[in-house]
Amino acid sequence: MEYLLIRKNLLRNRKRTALTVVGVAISIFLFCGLLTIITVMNNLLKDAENSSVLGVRNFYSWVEGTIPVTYVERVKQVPGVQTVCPLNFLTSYIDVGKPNLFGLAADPVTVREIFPEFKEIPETAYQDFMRERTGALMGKEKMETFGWKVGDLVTLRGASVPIDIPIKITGVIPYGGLADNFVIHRDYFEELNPDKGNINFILLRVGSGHTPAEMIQTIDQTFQRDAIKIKTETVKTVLLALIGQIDNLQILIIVIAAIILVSSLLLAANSIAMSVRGRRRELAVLQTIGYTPRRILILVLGESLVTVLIGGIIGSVTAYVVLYYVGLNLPLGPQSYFNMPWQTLIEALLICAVVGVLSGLVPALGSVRMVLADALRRVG
Amino acid sequence: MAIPIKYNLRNLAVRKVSTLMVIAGVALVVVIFVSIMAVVDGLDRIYQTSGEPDNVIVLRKGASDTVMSALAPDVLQQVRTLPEVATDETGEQLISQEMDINISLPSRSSQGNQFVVVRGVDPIALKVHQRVRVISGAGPQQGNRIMIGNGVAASLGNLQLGDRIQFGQSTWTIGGIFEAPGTVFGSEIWADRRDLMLDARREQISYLVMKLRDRSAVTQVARRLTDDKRIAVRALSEQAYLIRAEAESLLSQLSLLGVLLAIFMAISGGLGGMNLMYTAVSARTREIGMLFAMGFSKSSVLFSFLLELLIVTISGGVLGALIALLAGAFSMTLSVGGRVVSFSPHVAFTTLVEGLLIAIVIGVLGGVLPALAAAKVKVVDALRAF
Repeated sequence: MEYLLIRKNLLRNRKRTALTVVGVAISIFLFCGLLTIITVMNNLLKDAENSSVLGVRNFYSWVEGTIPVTYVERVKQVPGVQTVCPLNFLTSYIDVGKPNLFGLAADPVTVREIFPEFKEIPETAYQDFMRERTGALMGKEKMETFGWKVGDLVTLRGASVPIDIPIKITGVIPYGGLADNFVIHRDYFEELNPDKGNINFILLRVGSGHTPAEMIQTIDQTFQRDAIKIKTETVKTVLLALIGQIDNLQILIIVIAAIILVSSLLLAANSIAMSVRGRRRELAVLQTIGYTPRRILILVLGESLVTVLIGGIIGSVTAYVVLYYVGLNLPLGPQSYFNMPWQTLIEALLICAVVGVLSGLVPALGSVRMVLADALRRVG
Repeated sequence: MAIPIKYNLRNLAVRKVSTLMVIAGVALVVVIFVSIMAVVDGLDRIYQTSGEPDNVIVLRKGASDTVMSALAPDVLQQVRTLPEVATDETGEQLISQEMDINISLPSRSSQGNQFVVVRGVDPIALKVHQRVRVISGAGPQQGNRIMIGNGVAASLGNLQLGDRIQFGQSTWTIGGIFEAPGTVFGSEIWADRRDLMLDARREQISYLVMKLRDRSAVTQVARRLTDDKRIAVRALSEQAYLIRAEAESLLSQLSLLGVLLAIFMAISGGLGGMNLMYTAVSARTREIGMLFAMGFSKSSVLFSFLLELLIVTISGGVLGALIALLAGAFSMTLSVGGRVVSFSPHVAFTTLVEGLLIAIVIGVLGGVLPALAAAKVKVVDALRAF
């Protein structure tokens, strides 16, 4: 019965309902985009928390510090270390004035064990990558920026190294932290690079039965007496350092998201309030046919809930589809590429339900007051 | 003849809750737009003022930032022959050979580590970077005596002169503290260039910064060096470098975000306004009929209804702009290109004007259709409603 009335009432002023639904949909669309940014950042940390991947770097510095390649074997010898992947970082460019490309020269076999997103690359493409000496996995973002296809031959001109590196794109990194980067074979890079025998980073996976904390200690101790000092870190430490500095921006995003919600709340509340105001006489009729104030309250709340939910579903599903196909590219600390997780979609819908009830509250209470006032008048 | 504004104001006052809600909605749109733009402008401003207008920076060709750059010695020789380079009172050319590295140090906020740029310099650097002022102690000296920025001194936990910090293969003593107001350098550590190169096992410097006699020569000198086939370098003004290397992508993405948010929220706000006015028109059909009967023209009714929403949205715009002015009172810390930058958002006058324009656009977009509907009301129908 209530449902029927809610439907009738909403369809009575179609123009108003449509305007409100579209307005709410737009707000929720924006809200989902912002919520995605926050969620992806938090998920990154949560994943890192459970990650069994550790990084070994030069104690001294970060991107440009090197450690001897001989350390790789010694890290492998440490009991509890499972997969070991030596890396070199390199910055390159295609042409002056075009965006730079930052990538990794890595061991193609073990790198797959470290980055979970590589499992999503089709097996045949990955086999091609492993077989081709000059093979490269290119991030989805960079493929789009430069308009490349799989199979293209490209020459990377080194900015951090004085060499040109001809590569063949054999696969695409679909998402994740490396979607804006590339990966090439370290052997091939080593052959071209005049600075032989040095790497920037060793990534390793901790075997079961060992905790990351104890492994960090063991590895650091192993190299304690060496001339070139190293530091072992969890992925989370690295991320925290990167995220910690964009804290402020995250706060700004949260504030904006909240403001957007409030504005959609205002929009819906106003629309329902206007519709209720025009129905004063009807509310009195409802009461005479036996509607209690409570039922009238539910009626109005339901009206706003339905309006906001329809708008919310349109907005959040659109956001999901748009972010899935187009993606959001914003360089924020460790992440520059955002896809909307389905959990965010559910969250957004739940939040819409709350907004729907809240925005109906003022007009609903108003209508109850109206009904009561009329009742009193009748008694008098 | 125009319908008096008082008519609109009274009508708005009658529906004060609805009116206030739309005002608040528009104010929120303007707040969001103005505050994002204030962040962009504040960041842009500190980068604009960081580079000195008569400084040219020379990097390796293709290097996007100083950390990734390495210069061969012949570049220095080539640069020394340029007649445009300024000299100090002793006749020494103001060319600073520098080397940058990024390190991560434990920060005070216990949230793990913080990235810090360490710049290896010779004493001449203080003459090239004139905005950097030693406020206590001395500049960087050989023997691992470093000078730290007041920003980094604070964020790493109140470091004082004489304190020692550990990075790289060595322990470094703080021999000086500097400030560089209005620039992004306050979050750097400066060390003696030879010490730092030795410690990092580097043989080549990262880049050169030189001061020219005449700032108008900057573009031309930079182009000449970049086009010089004998040396593979990229030269550009220090200002352009700092913005391009570190802030540009963040700035452009943030302003894009601001504009997109403003457009979408304005549409949503416009729909709210439209709702308000459609309801007003249908509730006041009789009044409109009266207005026509009194001899007001269609266009004055149309204008009156449009004006009514404009009054609402412009009040919202003004309110939003006033609230957003507060953004300038906060200070922000952001990591931009591996560097921690502290700045205050800057609310520019043009941004406020743009914010008001958004409010007006919302009013016009939301108001036109309902106003047309009002103008189309037929006198006979309206009066029949009595």
